[in-house]
Amino acid sequence: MAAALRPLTRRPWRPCWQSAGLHSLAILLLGVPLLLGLTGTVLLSLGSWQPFINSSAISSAASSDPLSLWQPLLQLPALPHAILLSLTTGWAATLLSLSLTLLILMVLRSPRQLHWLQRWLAPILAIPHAAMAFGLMALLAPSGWLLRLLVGGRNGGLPPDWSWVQGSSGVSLILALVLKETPFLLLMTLSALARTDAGKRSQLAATLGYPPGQALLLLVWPALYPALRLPLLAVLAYGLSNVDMAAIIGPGNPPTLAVLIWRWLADADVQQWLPASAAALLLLAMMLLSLLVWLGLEQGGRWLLLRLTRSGWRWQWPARWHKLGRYSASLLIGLLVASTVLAVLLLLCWSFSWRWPYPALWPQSWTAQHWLSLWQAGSVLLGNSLLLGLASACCGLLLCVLWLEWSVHQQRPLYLGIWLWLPLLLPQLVYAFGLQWLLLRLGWDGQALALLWAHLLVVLPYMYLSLADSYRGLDPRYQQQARLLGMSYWQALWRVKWPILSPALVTALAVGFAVSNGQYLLTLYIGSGRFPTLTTEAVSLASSWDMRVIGVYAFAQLSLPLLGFALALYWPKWRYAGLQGMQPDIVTARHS
Amino acid sequence: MRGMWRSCLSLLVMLVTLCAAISVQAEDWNTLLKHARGETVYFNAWGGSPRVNDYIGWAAAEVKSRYGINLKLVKVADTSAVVGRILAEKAAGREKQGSVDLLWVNGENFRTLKQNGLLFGPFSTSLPNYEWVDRSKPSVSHDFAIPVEGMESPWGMAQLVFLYDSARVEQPPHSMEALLAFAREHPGRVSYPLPPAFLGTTFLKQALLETMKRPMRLLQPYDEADFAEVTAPLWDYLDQLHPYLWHQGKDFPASAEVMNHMLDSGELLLSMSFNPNEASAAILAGQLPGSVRTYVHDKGTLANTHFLAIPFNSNHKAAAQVVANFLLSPEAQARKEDPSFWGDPTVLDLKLLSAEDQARFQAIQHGPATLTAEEMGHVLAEPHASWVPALEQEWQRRYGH
Repeated sequence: MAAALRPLTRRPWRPCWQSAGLHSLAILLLGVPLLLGLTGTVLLSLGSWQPFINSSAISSAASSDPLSLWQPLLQLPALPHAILLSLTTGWAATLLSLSLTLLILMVLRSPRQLHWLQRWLAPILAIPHAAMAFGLMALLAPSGWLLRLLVGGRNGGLPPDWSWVQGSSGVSLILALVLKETPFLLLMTLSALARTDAGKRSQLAATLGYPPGQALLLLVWPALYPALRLPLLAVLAYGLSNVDMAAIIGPGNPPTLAVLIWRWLADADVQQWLPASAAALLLLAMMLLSLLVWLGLEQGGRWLLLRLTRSGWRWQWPARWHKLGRYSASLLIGLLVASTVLAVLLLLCWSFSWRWPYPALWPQSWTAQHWLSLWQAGSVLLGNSLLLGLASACCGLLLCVLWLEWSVHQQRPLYLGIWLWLPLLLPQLVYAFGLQWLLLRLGWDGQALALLWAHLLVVLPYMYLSLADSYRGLDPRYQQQARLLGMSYWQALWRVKWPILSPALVTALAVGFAVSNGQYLLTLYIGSGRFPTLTTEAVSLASSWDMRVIGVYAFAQLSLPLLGFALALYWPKWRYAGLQGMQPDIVTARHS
Repeated sequence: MRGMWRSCLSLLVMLVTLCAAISVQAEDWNTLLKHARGETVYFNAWGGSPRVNDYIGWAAAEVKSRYGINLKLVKVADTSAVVGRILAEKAAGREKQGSVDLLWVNGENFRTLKQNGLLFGPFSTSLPNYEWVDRSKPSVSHDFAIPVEGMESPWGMAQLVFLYDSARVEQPPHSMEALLAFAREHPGRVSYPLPPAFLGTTFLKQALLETMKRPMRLLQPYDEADFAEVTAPLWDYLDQLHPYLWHQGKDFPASAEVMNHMLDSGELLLSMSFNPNEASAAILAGQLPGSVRTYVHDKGTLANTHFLAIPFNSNHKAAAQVVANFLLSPEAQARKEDPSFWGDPTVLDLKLLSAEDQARFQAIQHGPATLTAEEMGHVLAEPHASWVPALEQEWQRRYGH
């Protein structure tokens, strides 16, 4: 009966069932662990774990009134300041990165410059956040290279007692975040440019007499923004919740809210977990509020841009001003690029130095010993990083292609939005601990598959983000033509569509690989510390503050993702050289 | 009368256990060795020091060739995270297959583990090499005033020392009072790690012990009733000191490791360590200039012992005990004390050792920055671990914003 009915029911039902299946796959992979992790944190903050914590103070307080456990947190004098710091650094860094991205697009207009920019962005993205923070410390700290150059041997051979780095204002943290996030936003903007009719829009704007800068803002930007919204929100979320950069280059007393939570979780006193989990929920609330404010600002910005456009006003600046603006913007960009490059070079110098005392500009003595010790210990780390990264990137790619191909083929969108957004926007601090607890319950912690799952959780959104638009944006006629010439559906995919898309596919792989490589908290918690990677090793060695070892590991950590990005850039060019004309080129699209 | 009965009884119990332990020990140990062969021990330890990691790497190679045990070092940035994991495992009802087999631990973390029944034991006193341990040291039997009771095996000794660069500072301050004068003279060049960093809290305890009238009070558990009165001298002292500290005492270095880094660059003139050999070892490793020296305070400095513990749910308890025993051997302890490898002082009593083993220790070159046993002076016992959260919270309230 069932067999007889199948041909009839198949047609109308299949897409529906498939869609349900794909959705539940997403929910199972992304939603379930996140929500359960979150639940664990909520329960902990309300003292519901008290049977396991043998502390009379907690159980007595929790039994009378669960909310009383929030009291110590809310009464903490450092709390308002910590929240304020998180908000100011996170928001300032995001807004500054956005303005810089726009500025750079206004200034760099020749295709050659954009090509150059794009080539250099990927390596910068591969720099681990913590390594960037250490590099900036080596450059900007009172005993850093810049002040050695400027102040040198004055002041009795002692570095000045200035407090702007790690100071309570958080300026250095904002700078570090801007340096790390602007390249990310730029890369996202460049790939969004390729997919919009930006070239036509700027031509139109030029014929209407708009100067290029204003054209970008009024006509090109509104087309770009939808593709940039999620990256921008991710930048904002990272700025508000990051631990790795803030703990190194951020203010210490009080620190940002995220670092405060981190310190509590690392406290030997188990009772500190309660305020930690309560603060994690506070952090979550702060982030949600920030996202709402951002969406509100979006509306405000739209209204403003519309008014500006309707008013018909043109920026009529004298040529001299124009030049001045261009020069100062170039100077600013130059400074940012220079500090990034210098920070990386300084780490490289440190990694080969034996002694490098203040105020010497160069190491006094050199050694390769730190690199040799990495060589001895590195094979396991390298193997784990490589395997985990490759496995999670490949699984991620498989899922992304499955979702995308289905929605393209069925011509109906797959609303995965919320599940994809969640891992991007939820700070790991909020769910990692609860997730570990869940896996412990299941007896899955310390298992390679569980670790892979946890990595997939963070890898998937980034891969989907990097792949979705180019996958959906591909001209369907290539595939139709292949089918017309007699290829089956799968043949057309395998021999035409995917080869054409190979740059985007391989880039998504490289992105996934890099994201997986950068994971610390999840690798440690879910892997029970049994899967040491270059990143977990680097973080545990970072607590030594031995700049030489930190330098070595920063480079080791950066080398794998860098290799991935390099392969992503060159392999499709070599393998599918004949298909290059079909691949949308960013620069020509922008300036055709 | 009742007290006498009780002590007689406890003596009897102790005697019986001792006799039993001695007779059972030898054959037990051999079966233990047999069980241990081929097992894998996940040793979770703070991984922030390449020297320590290299030393454990050596030990791993040794226990592999001698006992056929695979020792895997799990480097962690923070021991408390591991304690948290063990606690979570207990909460999840995992009585076997724990993720940790051996753990480097002391003080507050030990308190948490012991209080929550997360430890295997007692085991340490029945390790064959325990007989060389210097039992006269109070910190071997009481870890931060908490009775050890065989639940962890001693590994190394620690005593608070201060570091200075003799090329920059002629006369370092030998008391908290002198430190205040020194800070006045060199404003912005003195600091201490931000509590609750381990050495930051230690600095608070040291300052409290030096400024308060009845230091013995701290060996008893903390009591809210007299906390304000007991600790008042400390806050008075810090109120005076802070304006002259680095960044006017508004900000503090994150850890002692950061302070060592700042001592190297000259941002700070003084630093601290719990390892009396730290400076010598750091000089040998090129981390600090050759002119760095150490000193202690005249009233004495805090001392404690660090230990190795085995979680209740470890599946490889036999192998973990064999490893703990090996790390307690004169050979392993002598290598550990050598600053060219690690430089961590031994827990053994050299007088109990054979002539050959004594020679191992005498051959160690301690380096110019290490103080002699006499210079190390008086030892202060760690206050009861329950004082730590109270001190940290009060510090937070006063200076943490």
